[in-house]
Amino acid sequence: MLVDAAKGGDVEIPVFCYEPKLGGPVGACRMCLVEVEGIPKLQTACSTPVRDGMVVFTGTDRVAEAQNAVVEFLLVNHPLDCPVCDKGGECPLQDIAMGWGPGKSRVTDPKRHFRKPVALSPLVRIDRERCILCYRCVRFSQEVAEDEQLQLLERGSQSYVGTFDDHPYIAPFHGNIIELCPVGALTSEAYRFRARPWDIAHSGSSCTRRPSQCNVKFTVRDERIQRVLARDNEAVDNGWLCDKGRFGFQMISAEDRVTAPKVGGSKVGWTAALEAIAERLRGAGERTAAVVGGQSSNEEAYLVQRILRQALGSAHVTSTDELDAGALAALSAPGLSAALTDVDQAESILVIGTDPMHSMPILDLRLRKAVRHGGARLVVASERPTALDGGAEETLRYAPGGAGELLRALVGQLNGGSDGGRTGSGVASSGTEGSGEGRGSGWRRGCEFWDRRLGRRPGVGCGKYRRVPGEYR
Amino acid sequence: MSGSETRLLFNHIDEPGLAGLETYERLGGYRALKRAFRELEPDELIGSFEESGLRGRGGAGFSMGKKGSFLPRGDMQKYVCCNADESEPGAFKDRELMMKNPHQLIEGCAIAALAVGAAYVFIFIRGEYWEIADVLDRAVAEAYEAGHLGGDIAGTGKRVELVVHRGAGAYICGEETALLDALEGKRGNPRLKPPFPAIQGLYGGPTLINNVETLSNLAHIVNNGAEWFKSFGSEQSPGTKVVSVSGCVQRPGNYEIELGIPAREIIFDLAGGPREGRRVKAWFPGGSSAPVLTEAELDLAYTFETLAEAGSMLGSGSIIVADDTVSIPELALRTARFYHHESCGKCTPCREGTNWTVKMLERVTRGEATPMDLDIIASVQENIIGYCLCVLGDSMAMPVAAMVTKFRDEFEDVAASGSRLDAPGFRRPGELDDSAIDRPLTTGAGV
Repeated sequence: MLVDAAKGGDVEIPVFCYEPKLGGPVGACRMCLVEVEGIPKLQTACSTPVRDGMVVFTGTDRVAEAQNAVVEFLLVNHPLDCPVCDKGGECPLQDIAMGWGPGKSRVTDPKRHFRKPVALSPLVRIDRERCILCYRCVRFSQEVAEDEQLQLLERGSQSYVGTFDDHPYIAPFHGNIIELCPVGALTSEAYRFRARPWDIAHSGSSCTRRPSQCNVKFTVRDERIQRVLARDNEAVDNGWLCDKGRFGFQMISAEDRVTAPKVGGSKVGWTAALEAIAERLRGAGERTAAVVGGQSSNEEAYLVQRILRQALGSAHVTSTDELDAGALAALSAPGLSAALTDVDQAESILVIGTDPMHSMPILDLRLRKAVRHGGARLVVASERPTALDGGAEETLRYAPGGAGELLRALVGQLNGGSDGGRTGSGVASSGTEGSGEGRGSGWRRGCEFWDRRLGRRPGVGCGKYRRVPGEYR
Repeated sequence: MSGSETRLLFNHIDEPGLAGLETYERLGGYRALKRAFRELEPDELIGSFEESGLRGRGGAGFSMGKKGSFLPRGDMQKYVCCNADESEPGAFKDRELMMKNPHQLIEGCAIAALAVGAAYVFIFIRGEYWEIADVLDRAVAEAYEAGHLGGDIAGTGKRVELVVHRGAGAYICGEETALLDALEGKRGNPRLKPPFPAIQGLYGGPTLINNVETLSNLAHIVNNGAEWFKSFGSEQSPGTKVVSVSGCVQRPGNYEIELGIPAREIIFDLAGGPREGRRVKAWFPGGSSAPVLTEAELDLAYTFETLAEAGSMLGSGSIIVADDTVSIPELALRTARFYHHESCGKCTPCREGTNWTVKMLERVTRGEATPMDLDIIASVQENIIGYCLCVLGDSMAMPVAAMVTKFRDEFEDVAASGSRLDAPGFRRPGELDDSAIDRPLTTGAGV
């Protein structure tokens, strides 16, 4: 769009509602009006595609008049309480009002008033008087996170951002709206009044909370992390953060955080602690068992099994992996590996045995984007209902531990349709019969498992849940 | 007194039973539909509409045929939407056209669908017209029964389905793209243009959107030809126009006139002019969004082009007359309040501009303003015009700006002394429903 092209040429066109991360332009704030040669009316630069040989004026009197007018209109109802506003000093409205505004106000009439600031959620406060109604947060909720909780209520100059019946906005990605907000209307409960932009330093890093390692920026004051912001990386996080990454930093300086070893509740030195552990392990000997979690590194896992097998003589080591070695090896073939960005271009996506919302939240947003904007077809196969079920064309449920079975069945289906040996037919199709006949035992166990859980008549409709996630909740 | 009326759409309008299929067919109805479906090609139809010079009767006055020709040819899913969300203050012509002669519209809709290759037609009717929507529903059912709609129209195997959709009563849904959003089940907010609905409209498909009166003309053009149609009206504004006349006149109502007759004839000869001893002080030539004209401009020919030259517009063809008992600042406030109340809030100049203007005009009518405030009002209107996402903001700014300019003396008098706020039916300033403001919010920890 024209705005981006201008930026490339070092010309800044002011914007409020335009944010490419949120999808297509909406042209609502009217801040980016520019003069395009050959078009009588001023055009919004955020929605005008660049053409060859196009002549655009961004600094004429006519454009300046329009920009002055829009800034003046935006400030008609804005309280201008910058000195006590958390956004002050890093506020696009401040910057744009200074850079493109008329510099003085002609408004003498009363502004609109709301109770403020109220909690939009336990983590986000909303000050509706500061809001300039740019729609960014609402668009995020509706079109990116798809939780559809934030709405613009009422109409015209009485519109305000809120949720249905003032329910708290509880959603796994809702912290992003704080960063999207171009004014101080949405502020973080964790950061409110903790620092001023001139007190802080930023330090780039990666989030360690989840395997996606989203790029983050720590806001640091007095050697303490005060805030976590996104550091856009198209290849990793698309510029979003999950709430775990955004608000989880508070544990770093939490008072009840365990920072030294304890035995029986009292602090001890490392030597004493290790001795206590060794003593108990020695006592248990071969009756010890270990479960190695998916977040352990290979080295850690290796060491655990070595302690168990060699030092304690126990054979009870396992990991949470459901797949056998052969399947794992097949799945990790180099030809099968894909980058996160490949999801954007995918025509169909199969999610097996995981709920990205919990294991790698940022992937959940990318999958939603692939379905919404890329038109990808999504199939979710898992033990439990997932957050993605609502957007999936097909959802398959199998009993805990049945992922390998499902994959073998799928391979059989892909390799030759119905013969597939013991895999049976129809696993990946939208079969409506629920007898489980001709299907793998994992499949059948899955049907039985969910029939029991949901109190259904046995075998009814296993595998035909098209867009009915509500049934599982 | 109907001497200077020219009735095409209103022909037989008061015939008992015209809303029923039998009477409509007896009077020559659905001949055009049969001829169009059996004998004419879509391109011929579009060509003749373009040739006829028929201009949109909803407000913008864009050539109907040209709009139709913008739709891509081909087999994609296309739609025709009939805009029956008649909500402009002063406009009530579509109401009578649909109430008394629904089949004329249905026939026009089917012909338009054939012309652009659409299989679906939606009539988006404003929610408050529930009674008329029932009339339309009955007429649609009759038309299906008789094979004028459905899968085998006039025995040709061609298919057009028609749905009457009731809106929820927002003025903004009369804006064509907001209408599409509302029809899709979303909040009725205008969309960014381009893409225009002719390329990407309802459900992303090419869509032709026309007003009730525009579509009601089509059967007559098919029956009588483009040349015949052009024999009415002026060169740039052919045909007739149903004009709703309201306000300070003795016989308010709908009158179908040939475009080009002087406005004085409509207001005085047809609608009877103001009461005895009163004079026309100001008049809106095309609904409340048209800049007001004065008594001196009563002799303008009632066409799209002359009214545009005079700095106003024909719009939806609704004349509102204000006589010398009307306070123009109060009229301005009332007009501004309507648009403030109906602004959707999506774009800044309209949302804040209507709000600010209302507050300033309230001060004017309370007698708490200075001439400098009048300059600010005028300048704010300028700052709205042309900067908005759709034309709703302009619709307030244009008439208010015209009133402040043309009746500046009266504004100054009122600003200094306050106006008659006890006039009947007029809400005092401050009684505007500000329910969202200071609304107790149940969540939140408070300040």
